[in-house]
Amino acid sequence: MFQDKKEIQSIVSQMSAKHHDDEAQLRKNPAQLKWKWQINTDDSPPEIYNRTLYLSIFAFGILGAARGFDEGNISGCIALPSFKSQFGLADKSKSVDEIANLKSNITSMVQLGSIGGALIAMYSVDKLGRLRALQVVCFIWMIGTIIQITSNDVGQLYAGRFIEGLAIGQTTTIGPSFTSEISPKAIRGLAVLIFSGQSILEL
Amino acid sequence: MMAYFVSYGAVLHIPDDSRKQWVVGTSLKLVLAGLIFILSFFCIESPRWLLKVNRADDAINNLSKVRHLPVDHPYIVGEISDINEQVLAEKDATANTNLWTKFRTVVTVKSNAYRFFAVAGAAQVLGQWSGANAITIYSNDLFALAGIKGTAVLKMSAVLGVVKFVSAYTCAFFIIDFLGRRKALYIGLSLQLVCILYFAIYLTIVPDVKGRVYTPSEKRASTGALAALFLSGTGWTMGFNSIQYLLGSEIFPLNIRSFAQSMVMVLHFANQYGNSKALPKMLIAMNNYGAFYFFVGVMAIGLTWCWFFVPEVAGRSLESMEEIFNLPWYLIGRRGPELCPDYSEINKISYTNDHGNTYEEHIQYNDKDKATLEFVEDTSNPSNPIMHRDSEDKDTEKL
Repeated sequence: MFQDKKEIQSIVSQMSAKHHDDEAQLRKNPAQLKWKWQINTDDSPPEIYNRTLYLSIFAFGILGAARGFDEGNISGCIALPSFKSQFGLADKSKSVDEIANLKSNITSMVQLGSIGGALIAMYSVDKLGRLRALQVVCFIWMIGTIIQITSNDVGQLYAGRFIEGLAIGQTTTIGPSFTSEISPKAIRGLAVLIFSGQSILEL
Repeated sequence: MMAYFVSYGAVLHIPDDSRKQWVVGTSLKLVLAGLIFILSFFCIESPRWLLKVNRADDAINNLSKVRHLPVDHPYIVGEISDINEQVLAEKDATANTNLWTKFRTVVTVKSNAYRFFAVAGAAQVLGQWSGANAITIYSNDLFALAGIKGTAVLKMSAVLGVVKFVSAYTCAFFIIDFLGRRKALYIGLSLQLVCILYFAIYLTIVPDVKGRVYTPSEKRASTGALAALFLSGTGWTMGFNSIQYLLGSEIFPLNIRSFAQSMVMVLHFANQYGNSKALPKMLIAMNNYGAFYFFVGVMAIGLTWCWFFVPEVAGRSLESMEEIFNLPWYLIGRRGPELCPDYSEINKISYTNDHGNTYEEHIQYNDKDKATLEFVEDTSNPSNPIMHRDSEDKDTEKL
């Protein structure tokens, strides 16, 4: 069986010689080497890197922005003069302790909702499917935001932020599980990175 | 990062007495949610989930749509059968289980309990209470403590966003897989610890008093404090931030992986809630500096915890995890990978650059990672703790 070992070896050496030629060519022209964008496709057909795939990864990827945007937004809001006067954070009659209490309640209400959201996600992501679960999350998130921006007192703000939390707690389960399932293995790491990167970049 | 810039823009361009100042920034969430909602109608449902709920035809159609290949293309057929195999394996592993039995498996099986409580759970607790997330949320207050006043506070928050963004990406691309999890955590956590310690000492020596005029040396110290806050953000993204998600997804066995991961996420949000609720009160009750000494203490515990409890699992196959966590608890973190070498064949072989060339002379077997020591149970010595574990097993058999 191995009598044509030499033959195979010679073919192999020819192949690698050809490969080295290509490499030498690239080395002669370093610009080509440096700027040639290529994905290691593992010989998979080129059709699989298409618009439908990228759109799906993008839609679930920017879901990662939900959490980061909320943290950054509330961090900025509690420093804004208009927000402070609206919700009594600049109230001179309140003690330091009361203001600290109020401030921590406003910021942490989303995290409280997120605990519930993470529990809901255990159920919804498998029962509803990834796509329906995503749509439900967007819907809850919009309701929460509308309640927040129409609020004039703290109670309504709390409610809005809690409902928003129910949506945000689900995003950390839905996003990574969808993107890692749908992307071909050569770009899987990149796809999950898009999700986690979004939580800091926010779009 | 964007949200910080939105707030900064709002305070610059919208008057302070107008409601719009905060409503405009907050309503951007509507835009974001709406955009995702609209895009979702052009997305393709995951074929893996469709197979999981026994909708094989839809799964094949969807996969062919998202790969832009005909349904009978060999690539589609191959991928569907791969996914199917995985789904069946997972169904096998989780057959006859419900939430309660899964919960019991996590809590009562020794190696799972170790993974959940001592590794993944502890990572959440220690990570959140290292104070990094609280610093993100209350960054404006903390910049004020470091001597920044007025709208400049919001500008500094925006800079913090940029710093964290750059370091997170640098870390994801260059550090985590290159250095391994343990080293990345050591470096990131030490950096964070030194920075927060500096900030705490600064607050002790230069207390925040209304209308105070800084001496030149105090002014320079406050610039240092500002830099310390920025650098602590870098340390966080380099260390705990990436570790906490990675550990949860890597170490659990298949039958409880998704359940344990959700539990870890619940723990994550619960700790974050407690932390962001507590910081404003801590700043009052423990003085401004006390809270930061507390965070320094937690991080010191974190470093010890990492040395003792967390095994280095970078580059290991998921199957070989099981062995490590079956070791006695005091050996897992410090010497686990050394005592349980990864015997998966796939890790020993590296191929030459040529695509598809697997002829044996072009395969390099890698012997340098071979174990120098192996863990052997000593059954002859009754004082050995391993022996006790065996006798426990016999006791349960008798029952």
